[in-house]
Amino acid sequence: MTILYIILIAIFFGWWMSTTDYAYNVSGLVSTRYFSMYSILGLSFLGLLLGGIISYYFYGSALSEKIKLTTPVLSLVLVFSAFITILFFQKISKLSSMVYALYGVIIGWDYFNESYFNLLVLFKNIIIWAIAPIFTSIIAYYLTFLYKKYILNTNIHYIKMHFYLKWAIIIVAGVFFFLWGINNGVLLAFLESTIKTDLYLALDGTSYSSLYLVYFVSLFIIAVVTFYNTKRKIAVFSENNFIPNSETAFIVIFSASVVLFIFSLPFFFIPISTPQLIFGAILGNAYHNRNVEIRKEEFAKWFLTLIAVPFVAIGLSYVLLHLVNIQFINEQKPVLPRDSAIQIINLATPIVLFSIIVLLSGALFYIIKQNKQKIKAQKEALIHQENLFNNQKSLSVMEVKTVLLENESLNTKLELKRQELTNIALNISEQKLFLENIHQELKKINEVGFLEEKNKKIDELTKLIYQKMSFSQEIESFYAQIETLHKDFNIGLTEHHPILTENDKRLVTLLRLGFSSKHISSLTNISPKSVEIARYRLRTKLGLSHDQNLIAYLKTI
Amino acid sequence: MLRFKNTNDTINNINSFFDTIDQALIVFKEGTKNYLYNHTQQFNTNLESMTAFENEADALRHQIEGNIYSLSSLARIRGDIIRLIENMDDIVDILESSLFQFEIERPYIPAELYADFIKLTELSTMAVESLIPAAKAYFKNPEAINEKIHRVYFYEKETDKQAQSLKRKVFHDLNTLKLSEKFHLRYFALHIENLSDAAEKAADQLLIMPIKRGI
Repeated sequence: MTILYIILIAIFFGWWMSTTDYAYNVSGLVSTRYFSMYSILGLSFLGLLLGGIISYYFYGSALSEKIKLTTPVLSLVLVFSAFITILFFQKISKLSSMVYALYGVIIGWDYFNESYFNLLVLFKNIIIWAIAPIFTSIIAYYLTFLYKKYILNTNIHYIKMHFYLKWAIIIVAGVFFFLWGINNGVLLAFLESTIKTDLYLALDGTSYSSLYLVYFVSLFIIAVVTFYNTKRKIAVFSENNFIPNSETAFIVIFSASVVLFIFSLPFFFIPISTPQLIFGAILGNAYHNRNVEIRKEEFAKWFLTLIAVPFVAIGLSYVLLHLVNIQFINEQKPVLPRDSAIQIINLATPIVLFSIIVLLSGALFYIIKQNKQKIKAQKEALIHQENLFNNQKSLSVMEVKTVLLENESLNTKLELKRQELTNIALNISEQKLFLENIHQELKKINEVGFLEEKNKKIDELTKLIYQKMSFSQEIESFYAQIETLHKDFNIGLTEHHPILTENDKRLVTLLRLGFSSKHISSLTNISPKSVEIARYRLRTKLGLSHDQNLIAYLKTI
Repeated sequence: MLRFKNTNDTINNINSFFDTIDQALIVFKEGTKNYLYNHTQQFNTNLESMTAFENEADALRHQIEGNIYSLSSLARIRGDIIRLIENMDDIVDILESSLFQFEIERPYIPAELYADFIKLTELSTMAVESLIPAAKAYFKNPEAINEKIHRVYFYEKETDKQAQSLKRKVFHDLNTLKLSEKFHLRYFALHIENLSDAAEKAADQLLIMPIKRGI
């Protein structure tokens, strides 16, 4: 049974610690980077253990006597009620604290056991719970003010100040964990009467030694069981906890420690939710810098959970306690007379235990499923990003191809222009040479004395000039260039009208370029009338009707 | 208290580092003037001093980085401090390389441009000089950074204007210069201009750093 109790307590505290409570408290300290995850766990473990033991010694024993819990089943029912309440309310506000729920279930048990409900005490507690964070805010506000006014004005070097800050934060953090153990550790007391470990560890010769052992083992199991979940939460909170630097971290943790200390004193003692103190301190600090905006709905949610959590915990624990047979909870009050002949098999306890296990498994299953869904969503996002990347990559490849094609086209044009220039240059030099020849020939003709010979020479020269006028070579070159430039058009033309001859194609090309019949006639060395006839034949070959424009049709190919 | 000694060493090294930059600036200004007025002897002395300062700045930077990484109390701010030190060290590198460029390339600077080059150097070094108190203020009086840093931006803009005016003068008014000489002068103006740009870069970083410090 000892092992069962330890496991139960570990589940209870494991849940408590892995809720925002623990992560929120230590995230500010982790964000200073003065602490590693292991050192913060070690420090908090030590502080909570010492504080818890002292708390039990001073407050817990009296409380456990007052609430009179007798069986482990009862403790489990109460813990389970607090668990379900917080599971629900954390969906509304992350600041809903386990402390409120545990306090609620204790009142629920009181009401169930003694049919007495002290509403006034509950309201007093709720008011204190609401005041405590506000009080912390005020302390943090004035601490920030004092820090700015006195510490910053001393002109102490930033590096030296960080040296002092580091040690100050370590000491204050230790004190904070110790006070946290004192203040919240008292809630362990309601498990005390159900924890009978049968192991007597004589630390001080008192009967509390077994409790110390259970407390120690429980905390150890908590640290092991909740390590990864808590680690993840701490990492998330330390990134988004509005504690931008070590100075703020110090002010926050110091303010929270002061309030925790006040509410841990015998006269003011009341269990307080530490994350709310931390949050209050952050708000106080941020308010001083005028860089905070409190959203009304978030504030309303926090206030709603503050009031609703204890009441829901009371109601839930009361209902669940009714489900469990009183005989099994309180052996002092048998339901049936002991001498009754009827043998009754009471199924209440197994049913409740079974329900608890089912619900716990359900919660576990739900968490695992949520994690799986998160991983799935992340994977999908990754695939989506990969697809996006691939698309972008293929788009880039297409763009590169387009650019390459454009470059190729530009290169072709450039090459053509070069050829053109070369041809022009060659042509000029050829023309010059030709004109020089003519000049020489004319000189020679002038020197010839005989008229017949002179006429003969003039005829030869006329023939030479006529031959030159045919420009056959240049025209061939011109057509070749045109064909290269309008390669696509030529291919399309051949595909659409394979019956066209080479002369037809040349005519088509010239018409498409916008040459008039007169120009075409001079380029092709035929008369304008022949060009008109050639145009008519071309229209027939292309199958055009009378109302169709030949040039407009050619431009559509 | 070994760590406490380490903390004090780091503080002293940072202060020495800033002082080294300050001295290097003076040497750079002197060096530019000496080159312009052809005081070869003094210019060579400036070059030697500049090399010594550059080496000292590098050594100090390494020491500071080593110390800062060993101080766990600076875990959260070490990135910022190291980046600042590196940006400041870049300034010393620019100072050294610019002065050596004069010695290596020996640009021909017409006498009518002397005043412009001296003004450009003054403005550019003023930008860095204004940066040093701002950087020191980060460690002691972060609230004073803003009022100090606006001078860096002012001098950086003035440097840009002066550089533009100088380049305009070179390309529009000095028709006797060859194109290669004009390019060369523009290149040197750019070198000096880089100094204020580096100061602006460090100032940009410095402008963000006190926000993180603000509580």
